[in-house]
Amino acid sequence: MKILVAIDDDSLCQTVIDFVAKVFSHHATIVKLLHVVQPSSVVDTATSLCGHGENHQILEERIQQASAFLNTLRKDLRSKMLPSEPVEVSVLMGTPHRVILDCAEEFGADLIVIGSHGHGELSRLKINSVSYAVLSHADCAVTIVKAQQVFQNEDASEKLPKSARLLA
Amino acid sequence: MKVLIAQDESECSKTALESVLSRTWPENSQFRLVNVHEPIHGYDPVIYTPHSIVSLKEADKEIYAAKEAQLKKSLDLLKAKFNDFEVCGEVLTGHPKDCIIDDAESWGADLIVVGTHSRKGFARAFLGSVASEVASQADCSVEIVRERKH
Repeated sequence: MKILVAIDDDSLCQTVIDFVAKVFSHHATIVKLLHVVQPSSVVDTATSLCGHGENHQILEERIQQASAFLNTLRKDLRSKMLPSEPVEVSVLMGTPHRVILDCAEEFGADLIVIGSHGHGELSRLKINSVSYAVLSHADCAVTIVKAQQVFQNEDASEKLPKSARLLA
Repeated sequence: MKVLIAQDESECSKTALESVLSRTWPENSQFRLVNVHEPIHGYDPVIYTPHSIVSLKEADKEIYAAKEAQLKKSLDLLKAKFNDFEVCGEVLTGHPKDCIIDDAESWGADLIVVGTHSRKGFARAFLGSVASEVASQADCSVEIVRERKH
């Protein structure tokens, strides 16, 4: 089973990794971790006025940071999954939902896993726009991991370090 | 890991069940199958004669019985495949989205698995409404399984 895990650079990514580790810890899987760097249009306009060099540098830095971040997550995930299962890492540029969908198709994903914070208490919706776009347009199965996700059968002592890790 | 599978008569909900059956789940997993029966509304005495109300109620009963039969068949499949795991199921009555979300909450589901149609072109923009409402309103994680492309 091929799983594409879309990683955002917020606190939810640990919840997503823990979810994948928990659900697929006994199943043969090829996991690909993907982070999408979205070039900021404001930066683009500003830097195109004063030359391309700086813009390029900023993006390069963001890509490097994302790669380093994904590699830490990869190590974490590999330690929790079957040792023989590969975990790939990929950082791409573009509009997040487009890139995620294209990447899933190219990778031949059976499942896309994506986290969602939702919009808080004011809205009924517990899903964000990128997740919703992926959900609506994907050709494969999609799992939305919610920020509220807590594994029910874990006891309280197991939950504590998890939330502590999320805060760190 | 507590997995709630929402089921109806569609092809895609079969695909969802197959997808659950095909995987190796962590130890101590539990499965719950839910099939929601939505009663036929609008027994309006102006539109319906007493006779047609009776036949509507009978149709309702038939649909309920069919759902129970389908649930039992799927439960047998689950029990045969996952004999180490706890498996339960129920036919609920009400609005599908509300029943699924409320049941997931009261049972303490970690994951809801729900099927959706896989349409092409313009129609694809509209995700099955129950699937999309469950995905956007449930507190736990939701897996949307698509009908396989042919």
